[in-house]
Amino acid sequence: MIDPPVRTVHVDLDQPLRPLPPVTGAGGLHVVFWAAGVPLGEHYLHPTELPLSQPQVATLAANVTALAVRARLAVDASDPPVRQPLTELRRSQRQRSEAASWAARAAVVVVTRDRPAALERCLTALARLDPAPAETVIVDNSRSGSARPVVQARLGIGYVHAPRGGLAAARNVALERISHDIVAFTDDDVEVHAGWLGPLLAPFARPQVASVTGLVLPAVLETEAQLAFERTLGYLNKGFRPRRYDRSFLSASVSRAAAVWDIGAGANLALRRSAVQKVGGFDPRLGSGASGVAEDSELWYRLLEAGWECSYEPAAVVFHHHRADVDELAAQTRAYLRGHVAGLAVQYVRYRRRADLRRALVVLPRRLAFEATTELAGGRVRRRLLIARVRGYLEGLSLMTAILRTGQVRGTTVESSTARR
Amino acid sequence: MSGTIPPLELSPMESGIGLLVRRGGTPVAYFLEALPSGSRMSSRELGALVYRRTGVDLTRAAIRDELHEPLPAAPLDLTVAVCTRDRPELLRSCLTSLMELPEDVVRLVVDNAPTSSATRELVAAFPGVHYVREPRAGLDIARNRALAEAGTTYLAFVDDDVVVDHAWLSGLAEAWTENPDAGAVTGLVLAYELETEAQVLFERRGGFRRGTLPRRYAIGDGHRSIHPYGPGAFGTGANMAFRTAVLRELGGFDPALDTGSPLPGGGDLDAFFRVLAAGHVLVYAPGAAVWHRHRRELAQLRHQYWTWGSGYLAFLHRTYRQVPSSRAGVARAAAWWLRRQTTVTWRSLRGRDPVPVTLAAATLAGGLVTAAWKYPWSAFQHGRAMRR
Repeated sequence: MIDPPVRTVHVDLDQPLRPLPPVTGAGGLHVVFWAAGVPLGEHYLHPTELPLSQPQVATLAANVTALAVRARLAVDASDPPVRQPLTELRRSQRQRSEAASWAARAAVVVVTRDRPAALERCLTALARLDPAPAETVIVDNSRSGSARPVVQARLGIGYVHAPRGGLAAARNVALERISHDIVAFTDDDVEVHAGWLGPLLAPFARPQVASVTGLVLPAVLETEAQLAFERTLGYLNKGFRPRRYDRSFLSASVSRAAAVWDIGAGANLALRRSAVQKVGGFDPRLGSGASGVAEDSELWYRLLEAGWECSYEPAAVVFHHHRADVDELAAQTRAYLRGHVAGLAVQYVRYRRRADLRRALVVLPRRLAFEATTELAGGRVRRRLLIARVRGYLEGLSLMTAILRTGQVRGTTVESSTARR
Repeated sequence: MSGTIPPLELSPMESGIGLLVRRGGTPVAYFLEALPSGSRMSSRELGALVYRRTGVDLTRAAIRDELHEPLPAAPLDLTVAVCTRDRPELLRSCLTSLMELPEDVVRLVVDNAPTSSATRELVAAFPGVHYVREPRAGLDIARNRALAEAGTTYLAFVDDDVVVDHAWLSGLAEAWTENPDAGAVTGLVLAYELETEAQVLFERRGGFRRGTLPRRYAIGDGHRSIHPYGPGAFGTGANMAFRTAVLRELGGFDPALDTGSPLPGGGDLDAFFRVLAAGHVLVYAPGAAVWHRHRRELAQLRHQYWTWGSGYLAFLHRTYRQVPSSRAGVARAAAWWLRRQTTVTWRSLRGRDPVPVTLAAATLAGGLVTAAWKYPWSAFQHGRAMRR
């Protein structure tokens, strides 16, 4: 396995291939392959695996990108394979309808709380968006309004102070205040790719699509905590193959809970406002500042139940700054598990799917017990993360009891600043 | 893939197909498919099945060629060695396939502790095949004898129960042309026949196959947590090749790993590990394929699985003892293996795996017995023999 720091390299397969030189001053290389402006796969290389000559890079690139390329070429699985897949991919990407018109109907929203430096960096990236949105709004969830000076130092960015509740409540405020058809959400610890909006908005051309999520890549992999978050936990990166979800996804298996968390991440999410309002907005009992996370996956659950479609489009890329510090990561991991279990409880109360209950009471503890056999021997960081997950799970169980009994979640005020994402 | 796909007709006795897809002669994809006996498929239907099962592999190969011109493969200065013991019937078809190779490839048979002259007489009937007799029994001893005899830049080993594919040599040559720094190259092992239940069962569980993705391995890895101590991750002794100088500088194979006969112990796993540990790269080249005659009977298959567990644990035990820096990794690998074999056996017990429990448990049993007893005894005996 590789140690931090890990350097990320983006390889554009539209350009002539270059060899990958030996890596100095880093414990590994994270390679992301792109073609036709679309990310197609990633791979981690140990320093002893480098350098790689051009033909060796070609072999690696083919290995890593084949699945995503095939998924994107609009061929039936039973058709003969395309002779020149990359050429064909470039041709089909050029033909895609212009998404600029959709950008004019979209607003970008960032909910922030007491992270002015991160917000500054986030806004710098947003300023480079092309196509650009009709409107950008920062929703300040802090008590003191600490984001106001950061936002007001820039022209043309809206500011809303929404201190009540947590992330989910703040997002609901944004949904109410904004009048555009589409709202694209990202977080203050994210730097968007300049071309983010085009592929994120394109799927809304289909009227049944209520939600589009995109690829979340790590911005940096400098510390053990960041590497562990990306590789061991992998909560945000949902891969490089586009997917569509509809109602049948929820009942695909009777015994296994539908993995709505696989649909995407709130750090890279666009919603059709009318659809969300019809199903009732984010659940304020969940999410950062409430019970943990899962406010987004619970919303997707509701959208799917109501017959809407959710789309995962990895061509819409953002770069997320994972927590650099192990303590923060452990707290965040705890919050993830806690929120996950709370989300299962909410889903169960609403839709009575036994698989959701079974996941909370049988599948998760069994998985944690199984993971204990590797993680406890996996070193300090992984041990801490396992313990954090177990604690988060147990806390989630007690929230679950409350939700099942009363429909309320006690203690919806912020527990501590490390509990938020 | 340039040719057309023929229609398929199964006989009433046949219950499925194993299908290899080539691209320009090079193997790129393989799959098994169960089909009703006597079924027929038109060219189009079979084509649809092939593309459904192998579309990604074919896409991968097409992308590879799109990104870089295939390199012209330089001819290899090569010895092919077959170490054999009292199996002339199997050896015959192996040698027949080797006769298809160009004349400048050196062919060598190492007759290991034979109980008759049958092998020698068989080899005499194949002109141009060199014969040596190694009286001390042990597969790794026989391999070391081949190493002592080899005078070429590269030395390949194939088992006596395989038949080399007609594209095997070009697959090896391509691998070394693309990876001139490789210390070892391993290849694909396919099923020569799928006639008995045991053979089909073995292949359904994955056989020897490491897949059809070409891979490059170094001592460090960005993905696998038990690297480089995984079982069979790098290939198998049934189809392996080395840069002769590298194998010599590593001291050849370790005879203490010959924990049983006639099936091999972990000598190949150990050699692959030491190639990597010495800083060389190991390449898995599915283009260099052989066809292996799987055990026909279930009892033999059970023994095969037993020796897999046995060979792997012997390799782990040896590495643990002799390479202090490996201990943490070896312990993790052993724990992983134990967990995996227990899960497999448990699933089989509960009827969730087509394999009978005795087969599933054979690997686990072989490993435990060897780790606790057989390898230490073998190492002790070998040490005693060396001291004499």
